[in-house]
Amino acid sequence: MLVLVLPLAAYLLHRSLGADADLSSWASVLRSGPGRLAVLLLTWSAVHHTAAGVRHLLFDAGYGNRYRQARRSAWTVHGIAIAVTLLVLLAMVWGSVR
Amino acid sequence: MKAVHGAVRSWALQRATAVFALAFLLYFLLHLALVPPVTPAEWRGWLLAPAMRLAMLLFFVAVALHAWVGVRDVILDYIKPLGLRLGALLLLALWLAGTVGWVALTLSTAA
Repeated sequence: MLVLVLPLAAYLLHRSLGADADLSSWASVLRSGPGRLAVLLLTWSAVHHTAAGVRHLLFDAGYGNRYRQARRSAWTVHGIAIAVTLLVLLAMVWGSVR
Repeated sequence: MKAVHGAVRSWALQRATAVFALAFLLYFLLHLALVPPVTPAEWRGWLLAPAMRLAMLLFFVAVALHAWVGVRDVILDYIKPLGLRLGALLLLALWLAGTVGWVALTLSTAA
């Protein structure tokens, strides 16, 4: 999924730097139902991928290689990804009731 | 032995690109949160500074290399028929090169 949206990042960069860039129309896309769902899914994927990656960098550096530690850090990765996604969800809800 | 060297190179590339991409992403998000560019002029002023153009291009190159190593390994692990495998690798290469090419074009032509 993260690889599939890479051209989307290129597209957004391209459009945002164009002469006719209109930031308010972007905001309305992000505030729509599908827009919010996409933001939540991508947040979750990206944070999970990053946290899991940092976990592997720590393994390479010699930390947390014992089985129990590795089990615990695997759950920590899930926790971090879900927590950050819930924070974004909370910010969305808070932003729309305010 | 050659295959082993290739594997070590992939491993090192995967980590180097990950660290660079993460550092750039942290800078990007922190800057976005702390000094939000509100107007299009501020946004362009930030992203089109020469150092930022270079950093963004490097970021997309790093992410493309990172995705190449990662998805290539998934393809080699799960797609066994040679034709399908080559097709998938070609598609991936075009997908990633197309993205980087588009970014390079955008960054080099945006004034």
